[in-house]
Amino acid sequence: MQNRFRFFTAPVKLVFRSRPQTKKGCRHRSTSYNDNVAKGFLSVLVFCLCVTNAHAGVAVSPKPYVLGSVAGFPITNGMIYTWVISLAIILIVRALIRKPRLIPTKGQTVAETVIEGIYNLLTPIVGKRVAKQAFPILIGFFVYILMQNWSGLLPGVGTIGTFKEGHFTYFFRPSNADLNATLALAIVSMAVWAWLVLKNEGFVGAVKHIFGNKADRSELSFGIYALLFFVFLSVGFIECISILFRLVSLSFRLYGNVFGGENLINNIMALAPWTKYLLPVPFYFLEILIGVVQALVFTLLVAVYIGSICNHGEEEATEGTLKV
Amino acid sequence: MIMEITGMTGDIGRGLTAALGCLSAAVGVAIIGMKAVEMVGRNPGASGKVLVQSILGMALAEAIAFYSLFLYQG
Amino acid sequence: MIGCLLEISGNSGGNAVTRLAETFGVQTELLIAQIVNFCLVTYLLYRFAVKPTLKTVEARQKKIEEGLRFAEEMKAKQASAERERLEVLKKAQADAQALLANTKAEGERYLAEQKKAAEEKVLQLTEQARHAMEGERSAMLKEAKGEIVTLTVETTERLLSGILTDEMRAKLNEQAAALLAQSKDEHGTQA
Repeated sequence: MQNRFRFFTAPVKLVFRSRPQTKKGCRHRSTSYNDNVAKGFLSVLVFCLCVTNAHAGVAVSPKPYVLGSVAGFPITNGMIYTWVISLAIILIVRALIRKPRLIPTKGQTVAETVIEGIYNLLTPIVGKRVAKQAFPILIGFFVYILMQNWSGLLPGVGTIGTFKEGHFTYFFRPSNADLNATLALAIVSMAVWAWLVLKNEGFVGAVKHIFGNKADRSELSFGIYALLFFVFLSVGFIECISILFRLVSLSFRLYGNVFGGENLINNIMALAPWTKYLLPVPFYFLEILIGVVQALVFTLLVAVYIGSICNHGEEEATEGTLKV
Repeated sequence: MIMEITGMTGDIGRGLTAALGCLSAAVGVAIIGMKAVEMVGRNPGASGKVLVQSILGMALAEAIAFYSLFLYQG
Repeated sequence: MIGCLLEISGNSGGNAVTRLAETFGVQTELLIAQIVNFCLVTYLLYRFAVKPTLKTVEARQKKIEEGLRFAEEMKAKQASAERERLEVLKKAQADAQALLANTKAEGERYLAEQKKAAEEKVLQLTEQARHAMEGERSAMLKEAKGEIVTLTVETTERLLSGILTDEMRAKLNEQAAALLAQSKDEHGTQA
């Protein structure tokens, strides 16, 4: 029973336990270390809460703040945090896998489970042939978006900063709460989509796939078949618009979810003075769930877009023509 | 007119768009969730496939809310 | 990219797009930086994490498959060896049985032969013995007869020599010889 509360009481215990030990004079070094850790932990906590306090209630701005510029290149808080987390992703994954062995370590098992799970999930959607080409970018999307989504929940994000001209400017903004990042992801995904389609189907094949008559000629008379040709042509134009709109839908979906989550937690904290500490906790769990789901959705949608043109015949096509 | 009477300020069009968009997204997600649960209840073996499809559908339905929230600028 | 947005926003033109971009802080430099950043992370992730992991998984899969195949082969081999062993055992048993039966029959036959031979020999021996005994008996009888005859003759001679004349003796001799011859003949036919 006591164990359940250890997480919450641990910092408190550290502080109180260290006192008598210093009096006795034994284990002086470790005690002072403990003391420092506890002090550091508490000061960061208090700082975060104070900063949150000052910041709460002000709606999260829809765009990142420009903190400065290097040689005319604007540096925003979103960009800084993106770099930090990108480095963290590489280091974490590297630490998990190290050098892959036949008999896996614990970290390697985790990485293998994720990689194989995503691969098995995507293969029937994209088609076995294209899966090998599309998998590197798709697993990249999943891991990158997942980590960037979760990174927005770390303490210090949106709370550490300075007051500039009477208005709070923070250093860390979650990457996906910045439309630049999500739009970049959408652009990359559509570029990969276009490349894969051109590589596997060719330009003519893609055009035929979008504008071509998909009716079965043997079942219809020539007149109806010719009429259907115009129908499918106009459908092709609509599909072109929908393909272009994928850029907007992909980027705004991710941006909206993460930015909305930030706003949600921020507003819940500002709801009432006494709700500040406990009420946001369930919403943090919600945001963890949304982080996974949105990463999965982005990856799955790109896979479906690729599969809707490149996957035919091998397996049953999961989505014939998917409109957004 | 409503604005004059109540003394409220703001863009009713924007508010209506956001509200209707969120409503439609909520209804869409609810229908998809209901059908997904039904399908899994009928055919528990296909839960993995249904999960993928339903998450995709939910994401597509949910996107409506974001369009109405962000893309309409009054 | 901006062009795409332009097309989507339709007739209101660049105005809406620039307003959107302004609202959400979209800048071309930042966009490019994000694209480069993502591509870099993905490349590093794939090159140093995903690819080796997939390779390892594949290698492990192959090894497991090999192990399973090896086990299967060993099992089959063991089964065949067992079957062979049983077959050999069976054959040996059958051979032994046959040999035993053969030997038994041979032995019986030999025994019977031996028995027969022994019986024959015994028969032969008894016959021989009987013959010999008979011969001996007849010889003994003959001898005894002869002796009796000579004894009778001598006694008679000695008895008669005093009484009989030469003439009578000669006559007697003749008659005796004739009698003897007759009895001898009788004896011969009897034998």
